[in-house]
Amino acid sequence: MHEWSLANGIVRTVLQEKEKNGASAIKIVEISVGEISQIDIETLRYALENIARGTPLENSEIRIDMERTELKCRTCGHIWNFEESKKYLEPVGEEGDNALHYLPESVSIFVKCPVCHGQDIEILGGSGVRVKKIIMEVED
Amino acid sequence: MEILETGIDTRDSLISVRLDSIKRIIVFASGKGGVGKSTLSAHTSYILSKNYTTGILDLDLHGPSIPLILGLNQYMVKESQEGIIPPEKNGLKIMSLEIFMRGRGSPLRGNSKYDIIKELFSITNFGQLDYLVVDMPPGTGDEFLAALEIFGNKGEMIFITAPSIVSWQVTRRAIEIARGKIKESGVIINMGKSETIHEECKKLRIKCLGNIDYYPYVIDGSIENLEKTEYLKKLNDILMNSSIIH
Repeated sequence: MHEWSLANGIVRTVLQEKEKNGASAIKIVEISVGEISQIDIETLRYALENIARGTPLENSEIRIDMERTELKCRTCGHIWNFEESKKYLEPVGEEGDNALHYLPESVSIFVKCPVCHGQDIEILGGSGVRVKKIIMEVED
Repeated sequence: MEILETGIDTRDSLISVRLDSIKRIIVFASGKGGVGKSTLSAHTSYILSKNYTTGILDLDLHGPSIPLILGLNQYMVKESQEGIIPPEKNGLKIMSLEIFMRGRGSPLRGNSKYDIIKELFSITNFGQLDYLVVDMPPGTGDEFLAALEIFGNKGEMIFITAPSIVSWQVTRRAIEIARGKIKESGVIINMGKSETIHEECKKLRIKCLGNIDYYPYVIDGSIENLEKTEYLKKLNDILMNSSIIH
């Protein structure tokens, strides 16, 4: 269901950009979704299609990329992928999954470095939802 | 054809939707810790919620205490298409990082704190509110600056100080940093009286809203026990006289 709220934010953002740029149509929208948010891409796509209905986004092509989340331990320098944390680290339990779904930036509360168990963790990439690119028609 | 390489943060558009659905935003701040910001903001939200649709947003990311002060005993959030619906206590809507971290520590640095504040506010569907009370942590760092950025155009700030000059000197700095960036409601002197701080407020051209005496039993997780106490009556009077409640 959180996907619907994200879809709302995406549609509003793209429509604001259309207005700002005086575009007549939106052809393609590229969206990146950080793996750590554990967003269901199909649900997000379905929500986008529904919310976009009746708006200038209705017939636009929407591309959604899942971006792998890379984490770095600031204590020992180890770099690893979020998926790795899920395999063997106890703190990423149900509560952690739930929180990271809504608040991906809270990762250091729930995840420990697999090498030194430190919690001073930086997200190098693959967090949150971003509108990466909008291709639109602008009349000269 | 135009290609816009954006990288736009989609939370910003949700934040403007949230702001549009709230009539008044009262931010409790102070440069100093231990002056009673969380206690007064929690109890203000409690007073307001008796007659108005009210929410409280706890932005103390390292020491979130609002759920505990208000005696919130179920932390489940519900999902809706417009965002997550915060848990309630007697109709008061409560959102805090504690609802997710549940007693864990929060080793967070600057950018993460800024992002979590934006995330927390943008994902929370408080619905239409008469009041949103915001509880700030001590200091004038990331959380304080994020609050000025997000709530500056719509909110108003109440500064809390203890009656000591040490506390005032730190609070004064927060007032000066916030000046011009958010509406100032005034200063509450908590846990005692101070004529000196009254005078200092005049010099700084900020309203002193009043003082509240030290009351030892304000935080025991059972807010209902505060009913009919001088403490709650005094806080209510300050809110009435300062036009927070009108």
